[in-house]
Amino acid sequence: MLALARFWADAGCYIGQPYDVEKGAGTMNPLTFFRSLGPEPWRVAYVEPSRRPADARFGENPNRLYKHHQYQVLLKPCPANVQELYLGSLAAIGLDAKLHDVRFVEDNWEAPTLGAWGIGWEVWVDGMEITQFTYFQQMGGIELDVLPVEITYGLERITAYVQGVENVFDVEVVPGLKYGDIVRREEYEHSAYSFLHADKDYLMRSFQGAQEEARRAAEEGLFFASYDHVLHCSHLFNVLEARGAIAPAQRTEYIARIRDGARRAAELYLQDREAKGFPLTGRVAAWN
Amino acid sequence: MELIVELGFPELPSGTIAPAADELVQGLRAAAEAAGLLGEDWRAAVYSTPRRLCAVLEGLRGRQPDRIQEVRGPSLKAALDKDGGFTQAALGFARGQGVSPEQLERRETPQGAYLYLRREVEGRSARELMAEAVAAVTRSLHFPRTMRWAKDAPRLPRPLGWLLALLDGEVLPIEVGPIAAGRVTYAHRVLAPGPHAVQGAQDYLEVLRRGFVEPDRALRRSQVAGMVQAAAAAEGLVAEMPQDLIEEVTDLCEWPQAFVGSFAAEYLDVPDAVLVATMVHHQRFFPLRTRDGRLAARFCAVRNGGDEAVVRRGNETVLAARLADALFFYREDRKQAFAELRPALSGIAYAPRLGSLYDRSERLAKLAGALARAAGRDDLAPVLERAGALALCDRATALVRELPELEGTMGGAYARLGGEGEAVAQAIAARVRPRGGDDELPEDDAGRLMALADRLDQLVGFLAIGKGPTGSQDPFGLRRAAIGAIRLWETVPELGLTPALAAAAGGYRDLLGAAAAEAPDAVRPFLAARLLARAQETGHDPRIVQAVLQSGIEYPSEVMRRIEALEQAAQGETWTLLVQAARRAKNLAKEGGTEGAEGAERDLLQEVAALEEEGRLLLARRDYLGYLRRAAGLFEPLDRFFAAVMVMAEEDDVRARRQALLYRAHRALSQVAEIAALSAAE
Repeated sequence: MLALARFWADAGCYIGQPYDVEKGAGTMNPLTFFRSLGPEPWRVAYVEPSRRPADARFGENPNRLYKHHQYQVLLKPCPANVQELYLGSLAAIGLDAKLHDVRFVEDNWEAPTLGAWGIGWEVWVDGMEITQFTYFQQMGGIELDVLPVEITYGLERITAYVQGVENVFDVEVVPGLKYGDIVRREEYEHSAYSFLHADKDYLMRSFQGAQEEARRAAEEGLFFASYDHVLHCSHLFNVLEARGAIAPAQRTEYIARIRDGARRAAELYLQDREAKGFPLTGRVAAWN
Repeated sequence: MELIVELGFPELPSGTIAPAADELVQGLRAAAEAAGLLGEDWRAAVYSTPRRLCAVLEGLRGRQPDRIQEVRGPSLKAALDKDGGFTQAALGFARGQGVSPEQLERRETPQGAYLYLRREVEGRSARELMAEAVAAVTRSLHFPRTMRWAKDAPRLPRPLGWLLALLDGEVLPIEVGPIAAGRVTYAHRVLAPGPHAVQGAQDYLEVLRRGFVEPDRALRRSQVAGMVQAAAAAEGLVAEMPQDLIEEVTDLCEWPQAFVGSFAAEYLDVPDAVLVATMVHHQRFFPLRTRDGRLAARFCAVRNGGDEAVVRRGNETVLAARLADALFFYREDRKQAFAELRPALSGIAYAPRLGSLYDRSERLAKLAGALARAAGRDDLAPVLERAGALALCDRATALVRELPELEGTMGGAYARLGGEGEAVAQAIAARVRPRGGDDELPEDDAGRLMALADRLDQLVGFLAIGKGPTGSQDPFGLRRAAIGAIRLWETVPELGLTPALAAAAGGYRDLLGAAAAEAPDAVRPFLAARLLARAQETGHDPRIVQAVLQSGIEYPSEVMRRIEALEQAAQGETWTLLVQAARRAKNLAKEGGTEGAEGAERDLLQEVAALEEEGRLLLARRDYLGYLRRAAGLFEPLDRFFAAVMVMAEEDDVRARRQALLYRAHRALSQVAEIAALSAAE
């Protein structure tokens, strides 16, 4: 993580921080979601804890986690040598492309709750998928004219690979201390909660409340505040789904409700930036 | 002259590369031909890798031949006023062509006298024309999925990285979005990145091969196959080499190098299908077998660079992790007897409104048994009822949740391990086949009836709740299911559509009520549409196919034979007359009694009765051509009948009797096909 931060800081990225609202992917951090929109250039890198209730495995599966960590990089506009830059970042964490077999295998990405999709690859190193690499085409339901590229590293997997262990819980984080010592109980509890104990009625009410609050905040023009509640909705939906509380037929409707909120926030953000004359255009020398 | 064009990309999706490269070379060739630039000894070559599409055209002329262009202008009447001066029409034409009106000629034509422009047009240079062609062809390439990547640039599957475009060593003036054509290429991303300057087609290949890129796809493909075979043979093993995998691996490397890796022998406890699916689908490895066909604890993989020992170790680690998962799931699954998984199916929804998988398993059990009996295979019913009940149990297993492509296959394997009989296990595995259009059908009748039951249950259920395909959207795979059903049906000719659909609809009675009862009426035209598409794909005349389909598809397996018979019979003048008579009969026909016929009526009645009688035998023997030829004999009595009697007689009873007679005649004529539909008038 430190090596990745150093590498991407040298490439002109603002080293951001995780966003303190629960979410399913680093893309949902406003540093990516909002800043992908519009013509302004942008470069950012940050770690993002990502909660995926459906992937929870009670801390027993060597590769699946309720909460995993992504290292997220967004470069906009996409530099022409982006793959070479990326290979440089792998070298920085000890994966020299001259020794390893690095492949870019087609894998297009879609996040229906964000109204977002893109074209790209999963990156394999010696047969292991360690990165999702995406050219965004749409975000918040809005077509993107200036091409952002997102690079998402799966941190647990990469660390396990670099340390040569097969189970992420066996990663040594400090000599004598394993990752499992820290998170196994948390993984167990969130799995038990998401699959067995979460109160469906409470979650449904919360979803509705958050959706309502997102709309109210948007009506006041407060898109950051509104978007926080959209993120709440998205997480609550994920828990509800893991809990088996959403019938397949209702799924589309829930997704549409979240997407509408995301679209509203995206439109407000763009209006605001436009009114300010897209102030970041041409301002940061390292981004040109 | 020689043209070389290379479009460079970051890694393209593997399936799209070769077709796009072909399109590039064909497009350029066609453009050169249209411009008159193809010399007599022209040659074309095409190259492709994951990062490039390349076309070479040799033997181009440097310039188009000069030619005479003639353009007709307005007629003299319109062009000259009464004083002989030019009118606005003439002046406008001249201005449009960029000449003065005095330069126009006057010429007599069969349509009258006209003004003509005649000028020599200098041929344009290959440089200009091919530059335009490269830009145009790049814009017109087809890819299944494209992206926006720069302002004012054509959509492409990935951002264009570079464009090499040389005509006899000179860079062509082309811009595609922000990319200007140049004289450089890039070789292997890691082993010899570039840029590397290129003079022409000859040194292009040398530059790339020196740079660890094999641009000739056919050669690279045979390298992959050969290296995998050799690597396996060196271990005394044989590689399992699915065609699709060879193609995909060829399009995932620029410089293939095969190596053999191994995994712990304990994983061989996992059923072969799981090992193969994990290796082939998830890792793009070639499984290795001993000479007697058993899977070895080895695999062969192809790398695109890197240090062999490092790459092997990495790939072994990844495979070990996947197999550890698989082994864990497999052991978990086996903690319960297979049949005991069935209650868990009630917690898994099949589809909204169509109940749970448990409900579906009950339907499959009943339906498969009913199909067996309807097809005259009562002996298979007990096996199919058991297999149907258990057929979905593998959906409740951890392995199938992880590797959904093993649905069915694992069901069979677990059933066998769970002590079900071999016949039941095989029928369970057969249910999911054929998986696609050209996948093989199950080997035996029990398996084919099981698979047919699966598809009929699916079709009836989804069509009953109105979830049929719309346009290109077929979210529930109903077209594929219908095609599968039609192919399966060809192996059970005794099975009629009516009892089969009634049995399938009966399974939904409790869930869907009236909608279930009406579902067969929706399934019939749906199957007919697939039959039509299938017959047309194999080159049959759509009118013939339609005529056959119109007379019913009660025995779907017979449709193709009826089409072929009709194609043979439907020739000659007699046939045309018969078709006209059939149409006339059809237009006047009305169901009723035929008692009291006399004269020409009675003659026709006797002939119709004889055809009905003999026809039954011919149809039972499935001699459709014989039937059609026999039916053609009805033309003469019909003709005499039409000549002798007035069908729409004044008296109600006479008219009704004659119409009823025509009804029977038409019915007898259209047992194999609605031949009236072949009339040119329709």
